[in-house]
Amino acid sequence: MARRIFLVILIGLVVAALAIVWRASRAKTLPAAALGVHRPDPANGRMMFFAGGCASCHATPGADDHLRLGGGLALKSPFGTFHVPNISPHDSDGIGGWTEAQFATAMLKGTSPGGEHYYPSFPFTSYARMTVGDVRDLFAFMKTLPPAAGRVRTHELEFPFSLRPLLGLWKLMFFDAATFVPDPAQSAAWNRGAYLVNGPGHCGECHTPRNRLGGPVGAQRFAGGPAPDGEGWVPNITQFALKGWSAEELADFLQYGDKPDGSPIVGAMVPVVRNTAQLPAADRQAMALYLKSLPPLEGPRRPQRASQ
Amino acid sequence: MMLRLGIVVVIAAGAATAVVAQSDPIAARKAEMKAIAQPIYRSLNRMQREQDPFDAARVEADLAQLSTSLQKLPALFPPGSMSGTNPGDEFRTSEKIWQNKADFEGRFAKLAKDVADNRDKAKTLAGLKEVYPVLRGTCDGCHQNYLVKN
Repeated sequence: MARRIFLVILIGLVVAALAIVWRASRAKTLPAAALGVHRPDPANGRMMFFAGGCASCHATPGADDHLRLGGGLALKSPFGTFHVPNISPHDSDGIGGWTEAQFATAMLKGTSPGGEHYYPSFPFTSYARMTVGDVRDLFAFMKTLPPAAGRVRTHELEFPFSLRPLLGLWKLMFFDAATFVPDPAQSAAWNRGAYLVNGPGHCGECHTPRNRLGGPVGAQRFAGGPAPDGEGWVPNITQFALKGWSAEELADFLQYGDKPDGSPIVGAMVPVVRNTAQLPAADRQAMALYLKSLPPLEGPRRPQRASQ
Repeated sequence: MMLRLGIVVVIAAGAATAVVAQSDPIAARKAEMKAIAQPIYRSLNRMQREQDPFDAARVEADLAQLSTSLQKLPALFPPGSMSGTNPGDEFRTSEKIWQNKADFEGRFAKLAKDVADNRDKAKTLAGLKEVYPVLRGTCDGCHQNYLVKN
């Protein structure tokens, strides 16, 4: 009898624990009432658009116009292939029908207008550092872009990664939704750089190694690692690797893509530089100042010889 | 005596380069690319951005180096010399080089012609500012098509 009571209590506790986790892992939203009064500044929104590198993934591949955000790029990952959606202001195929609160919810909470979790292939994990004002300005700017028709196919992911509700658990483990907090001990330029690098710039999404669950390894932030698409290696951008670069050289790199040793850039960083080249010089200098302040951290070791 | 020694050294160095080019085209073309990276990216580039003072003699020397390397480079991609995914290397060659050999070699020819045609123009800062993006455009266009990041 006592044993049976114990069992019932145990099952009850497990169910209760699961219910708590389930509740905590539900998709969060930002209510419209929380937004308050704001006069959108599309010029700042344009800046955020280039700092955020939206076009790198969302511009229609092969199109000359990088402001046509019809989506369609296939992003390979260890979990399957993500198909980047249309975020042009098209009424039915893009985000033309979205409210400001729905857009802010997507950017800051990683939740879709339908209340589903987004996969972290969309870097809301970094965008969550952005101020609500910057996100609203970005939305105002994106509304001015040309609408592109056509819906993009759904992601092709392997089981169990295809189950979106599980992303709630992923978020509990790896997602911190806190807005960027300036460090009063640092200069305004350093804080601006830290904001741009960690928030809209989302540099850490590729330059930080990930664990088996696709979660960032915080102890090796910015220390590089295998490329998210499994092809090649993303460089370490802490002072472990960039000690020889001056802040001026880093800012030049973000403007022109020129490295101090004269070697060219090819691959995923090319569209990134196309975006950072559009920023005001002071912002690139701020990013460089912040990057120069990153303590040297050794990242994962690269396997000595891959396949020929 | 010194002169003779100098000549011997120059000949030996030349022979060594030729041998390397024949036996190891990958190492030879890497060395050649590095030899033009500094004049282009560091020297000409910084002058046209006015980060370094304009120096017509330096421009001339940089363009001469570029011309010399451009004469050697097309021959350093013989069939079968595709470089593999060596983690020690930042880049590798794309197989597209050998699939589109005419286009690939045409890009070297275009760059060599642009250098030759614009030597005089690049003798002033204003001229260099016009010439530089043309040359760089050809460099970048080829890298985007035929160079792969490891």
